[in-house]
Amino acid sequence: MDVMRKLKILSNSAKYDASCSSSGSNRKNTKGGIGNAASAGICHSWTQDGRCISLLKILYTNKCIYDCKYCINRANNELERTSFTPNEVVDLTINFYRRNYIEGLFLSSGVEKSPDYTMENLVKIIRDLRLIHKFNGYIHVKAIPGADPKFIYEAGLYADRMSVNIELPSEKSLKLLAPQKNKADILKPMGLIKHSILESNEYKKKGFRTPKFTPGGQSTQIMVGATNESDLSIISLTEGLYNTFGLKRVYYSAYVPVMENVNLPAIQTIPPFLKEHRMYQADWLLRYYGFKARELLDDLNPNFDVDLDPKAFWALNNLSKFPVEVNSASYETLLRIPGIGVKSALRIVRSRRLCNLSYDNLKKLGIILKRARYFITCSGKFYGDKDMERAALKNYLLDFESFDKPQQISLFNLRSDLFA
Amino acid sequence: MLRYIYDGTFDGFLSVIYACYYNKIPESIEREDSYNINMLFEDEHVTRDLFKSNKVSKAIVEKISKDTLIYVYQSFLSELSGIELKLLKYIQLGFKLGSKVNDYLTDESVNQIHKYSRKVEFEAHKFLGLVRFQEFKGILYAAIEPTYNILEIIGNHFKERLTNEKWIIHDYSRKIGIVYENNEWILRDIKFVKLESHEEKEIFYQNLWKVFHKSVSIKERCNERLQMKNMPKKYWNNLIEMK
Repeated sequence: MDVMRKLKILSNSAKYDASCSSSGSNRKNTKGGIGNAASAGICHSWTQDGRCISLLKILYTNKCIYDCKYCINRANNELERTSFTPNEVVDLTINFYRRNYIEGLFLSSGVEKSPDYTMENLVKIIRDLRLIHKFNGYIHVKAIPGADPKFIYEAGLYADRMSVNIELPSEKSLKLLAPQKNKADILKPMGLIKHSILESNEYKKKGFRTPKFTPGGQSTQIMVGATNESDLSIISLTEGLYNTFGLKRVYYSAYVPVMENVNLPAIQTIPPFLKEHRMYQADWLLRYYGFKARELLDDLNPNFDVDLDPKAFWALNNLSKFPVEVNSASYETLLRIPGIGVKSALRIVRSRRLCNLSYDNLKKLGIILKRARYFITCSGKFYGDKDMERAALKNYLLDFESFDKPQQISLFNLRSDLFA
Repeated sequence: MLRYIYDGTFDGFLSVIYACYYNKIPESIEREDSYNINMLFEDEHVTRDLFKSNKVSKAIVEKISKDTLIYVYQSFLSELSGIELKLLKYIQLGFKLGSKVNDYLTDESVNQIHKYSRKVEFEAHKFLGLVRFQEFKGILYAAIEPTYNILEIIGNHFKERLTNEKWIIHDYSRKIGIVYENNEWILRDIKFVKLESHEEKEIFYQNLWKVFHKSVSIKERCNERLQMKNMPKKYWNNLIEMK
């Protein structure tokens, strides 16, 4: 089989992995080498589905001994199976990289023969890339659950980022859809990676010259919509992963039905893209806005309102905390106002040192007033809806034009007694 | 009314600032290659003087801040008409307020300079990814057509990355380019039109890239508007995968 055909099959098999970031590492070029990593990450192209391409995202092989019900590469699926040779992967990576098509390599794999065998192959490829071909671009590699820790550790020495996909957010769903996998196997490599990163940083602090261990940290992916876990359970899991394993990112993927199974949504089901989007928004609130999972949702409301973004949802549930005075509120409080983000909150904090901010000033600072106006006061003046009522505010947030539109007050409704 | 005419380079512009400081404040500042004769103005040509421009850039770093010089430089590269006067106002304010000037976001000129600087920076970052090299007998060549004059900003990035290669990035609408060889890049005029390689090996990798670009997309998630938002159509001419 020629490389073209292989590339087509093995990139098609890899595409359901959402992660494509190339950030978090500032690996330098070496003498006589090619490439480096930009810590902000760089996107090189965008596919027809609007997602960015920054890494050459491929599987090493799509042969797999596991039969996870949700996956297109599962053992029982009739699919053309193939594997790259290590040289083909190296050649593709370097030639794409030289032409600036990609920022590096994203290497994943089906589990061929055994986890050890697969992980060893992955390690061999990235070792060749780093040591023989002096490739210093970004490398993201999968840690295969169940593989010998020594292979996973070695992979971490060459990779910029590693990931283990959780996919199913609970043990119950795992039993149902991926009976050959278990929670402990998935979490073990995560713990190992976390431990090795901490160790490497610790040595560095003490002044030792240690090899970098996955400078870009680790990430994972959770599927949304394949099983019926609540939003609360997913974001609680996410929060736990950030806190206990120090993950850099958790990705969510709306489940695209690829196979008929009694335990899965039907093939025709439209993937829950909006739900996925809300999960990402909530994820940002956890990482950058200082929210806790339990603040956003609780056992009474375990799911987000699909119409509202999680921050507006939180604000409407906590109306007693508003309105907030922009000229005096702390940075942390500003971050919690719908329509104000990290950048605009920083801008407010910087510019209010020099002068009092008026409503018109806020517009210039990039605050989305059609959302923020109901939750703020400017030098004591309030520009929103006086009643601060949940249902009315929700309506204004969904259709901001309805607020400014003059409405004729109906005489009949106000004084119905006169017309009785 | 006084009008300064300069040669269109950044050093030339800083020489204008020098003249503003030591001579008179002008009503207008224009580039040599784009100004029209106007009898209302009294034209004065300012020649580029590296001594003066160094003095001004040093003064900006010391009396205001390094960030300010970066803002000035980046928004200058936007090449918008009238940007020179806005920059003059911004720099004047900077000398008055010191490094605090960048917090003064409610001021129109500060706000605008930050905005333009951000736009240029944003496009420059986009082009770190959107440059597509083609191989000509071992030399890498890329044609680009950016909105702003971003070549100088992206030079060092590619220098660090493709250290052992020889490469050219050609901004063919401005007829300039950066040429890199032996650890050094220079910005120079390039007269020829954009090139396309037809070498067998080059076509081979281009086809592989096109196949990859297509097969990595998820059909069920098709969202061309999002694609166009992230990668505007004005850039598609030079992208191999979009042809």
